[in-house]
Amino acid sequence: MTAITHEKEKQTLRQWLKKHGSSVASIGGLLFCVAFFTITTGLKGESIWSASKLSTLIGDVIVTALMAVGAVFIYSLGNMDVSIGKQVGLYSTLLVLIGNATGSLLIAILACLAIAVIIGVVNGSAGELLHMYSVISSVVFMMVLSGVSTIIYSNIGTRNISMNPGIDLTLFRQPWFMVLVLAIEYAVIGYFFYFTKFGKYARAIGANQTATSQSGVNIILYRVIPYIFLAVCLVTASLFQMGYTGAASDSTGTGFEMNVMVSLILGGMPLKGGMKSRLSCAVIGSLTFSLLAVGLPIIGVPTNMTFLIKAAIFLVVVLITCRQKGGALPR
Amino acid sequence: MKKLIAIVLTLVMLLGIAAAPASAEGKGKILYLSNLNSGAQYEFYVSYLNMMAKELGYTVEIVYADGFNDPAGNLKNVKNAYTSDVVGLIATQDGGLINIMEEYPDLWVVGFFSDFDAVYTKDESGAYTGTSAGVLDKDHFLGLMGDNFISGTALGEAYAQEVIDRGFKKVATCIFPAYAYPKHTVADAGFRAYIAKHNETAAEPIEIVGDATVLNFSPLDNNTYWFEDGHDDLDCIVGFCAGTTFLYPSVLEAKAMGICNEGMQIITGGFDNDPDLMADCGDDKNIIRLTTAAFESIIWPMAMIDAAISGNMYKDYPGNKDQLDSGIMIINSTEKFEAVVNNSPMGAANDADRLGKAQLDSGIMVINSTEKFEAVVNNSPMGATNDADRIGKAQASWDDMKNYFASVNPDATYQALTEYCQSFTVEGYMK
Repeated sequence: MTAITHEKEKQTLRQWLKKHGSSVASIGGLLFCVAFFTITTGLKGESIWSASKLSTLIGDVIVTALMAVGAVFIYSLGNMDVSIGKQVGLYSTLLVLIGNATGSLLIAILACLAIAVIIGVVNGSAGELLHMYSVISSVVFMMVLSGVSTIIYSNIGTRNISMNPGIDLTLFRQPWFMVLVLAIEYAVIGYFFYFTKFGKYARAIGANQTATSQSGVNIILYRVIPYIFLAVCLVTASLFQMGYTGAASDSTGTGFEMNVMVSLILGGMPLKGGMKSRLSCAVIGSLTFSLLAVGLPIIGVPTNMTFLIKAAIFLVVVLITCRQKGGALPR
Repeated sequence: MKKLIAIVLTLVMLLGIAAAPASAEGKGKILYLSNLNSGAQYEFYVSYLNMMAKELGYTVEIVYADGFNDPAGNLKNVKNAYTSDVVGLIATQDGGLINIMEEYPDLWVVGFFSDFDAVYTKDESGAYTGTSAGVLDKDHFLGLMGDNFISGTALGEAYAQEVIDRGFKKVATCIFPAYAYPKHTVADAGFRAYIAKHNETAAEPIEIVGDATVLNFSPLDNNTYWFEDGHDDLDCIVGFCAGTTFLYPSVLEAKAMGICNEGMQIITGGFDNDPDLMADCGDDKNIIRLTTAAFESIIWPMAMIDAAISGNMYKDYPGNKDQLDSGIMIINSTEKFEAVVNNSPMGAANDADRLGKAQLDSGIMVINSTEKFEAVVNNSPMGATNDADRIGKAQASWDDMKNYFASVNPDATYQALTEYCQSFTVEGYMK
């Protein structure tokens, strides 16, 4: 009797782990990083939780987390958007240019939102309308926006531009404000992702588009809406990216799409999207990624080794979380 | 599950091994924000900095600068590397420098191995307009020693002289976009003006084919370039951009395809210790001239940081006075150019800015003959394979340089230090 109960318990544990394996791995990874860096930085006479390092950590994590929260919607569709970095670069540039020209950050934000929504609508609908992988349209946008950025900076005649001192950006450098905005964004996107049909249909499309379509769901509409959520998140992230230094450059945002992807994977996001997509992946992954970036130098790991270690951890997480039958890369 | 635990434990061990021992008690840590992350030049800088730091009682930590000089990227990288014992920063990029200095107001910062356009760019009225120009108002910013010629005009004229000396009759130029590298456009103009002046009296004028080709950080396009009017029979391409990366491979390919002049040669800047490339440098090779900063010039930022940290700043440090002779910057004749580049141990000093923050030329290495290329490969630290060898091959040992450090020699002067660091040339490796 005891043996049967024991076997049942083992089976239950196995099933639970099978269902929540990626969550356990991602949260476990984060907790491991927290514990490891708390101990090891202490041995070095430093603390990763000191006010200055905590500020550095929050500053490091905020932009990636803001982008990743929006990107969860896209990844839940089974898609990915490689134009994220270039979009952030363009919005940061426009925030500076329009802000300087008008003297109003609000006007600049609204202009960026309008452009972001247009890009989002085109990006989200192109794949379905033109019968191609959605990632292709984002590649096109990445190239177009790169060209636009080059033209803008060529015409300005410099590689860096900064916001006029008249526009106060100190709020965007305050850790408490960063945390507050992230929490608000998480709550709002979380509401739409978990409690409205926008999120449910997005995950359903990621799980099985054919079945979702045959259930009467307007695929184009519910593919476009996630991109609009992402657009808003990207403009928010751009505000903090630009506000961090009060400047933008022709290279602002370069590689951000990879940061988002790495963060989501570290956070346990299933690459094929679907019903197992979780918003928490964005924050957990971004935090883990930033903890490594901030913690490793403190404990004396040489810079070139930090890349190696981060790559090794990424590889391990991918091997653990993505080796699923029928699993596919986002497209 | 067992596998997972095993992987986690392995990672813990790896991290434990990778973590360096706690830094020894000393004067603190100096961060080197490096725009290089590999190669002989990078290896030498790291070795040389560590050697000097050890002698002076500091530690040095390398921080990779943002690959695109993005302000936020540089700030983030410095913040991530910053620990409580950091006292100085040697920066080879200027993006976000003002933000770094505002974040850490007690940090001593000195520039090296870059033009620092974001700091020193001026408008027509002479006012500084760069996004990081604010650092010039800060006492903790100690100035800049650049990457060879600070002046684009001087660079253009130097290349023009090489074209003249080599007897090339048909040349073209390549630059990076002006918004990213304004010096290239100035250099190109200086080059053309110099050639035009030469042509006024030359029996056989030199033809510069078309305007400068702007390379958008991509290699010369073999599909179009050689088919444009006059490019197929060029004698020489002058690359103000990083020609070893962006011109040389294309030229090799074009020669192999037979779509350009077989005897065409390249004049450009930078240094690459790729054996195949270095074997192709010399009088009768594909690369006829390289211009680069003297490697030992890195003594200058270390000495400046040390002087500031130790509270022994040079008595003649210009401070708010114009210290350097701006006249030296106007290198507008062959005699002056040759005197500065080839003969003078002084190098070419740039004009001090109005706030007295010196923006200096580094020692300049002109590698324009087979002997010089061989000297660099065989005798300089660039051919070395370990730290001892690198330091041993340098033109200055600690004993040679120590009297230029204010913390070691209270009588050391800023001017002597600067002249010393500008005195290193490729000829030093030929002795």
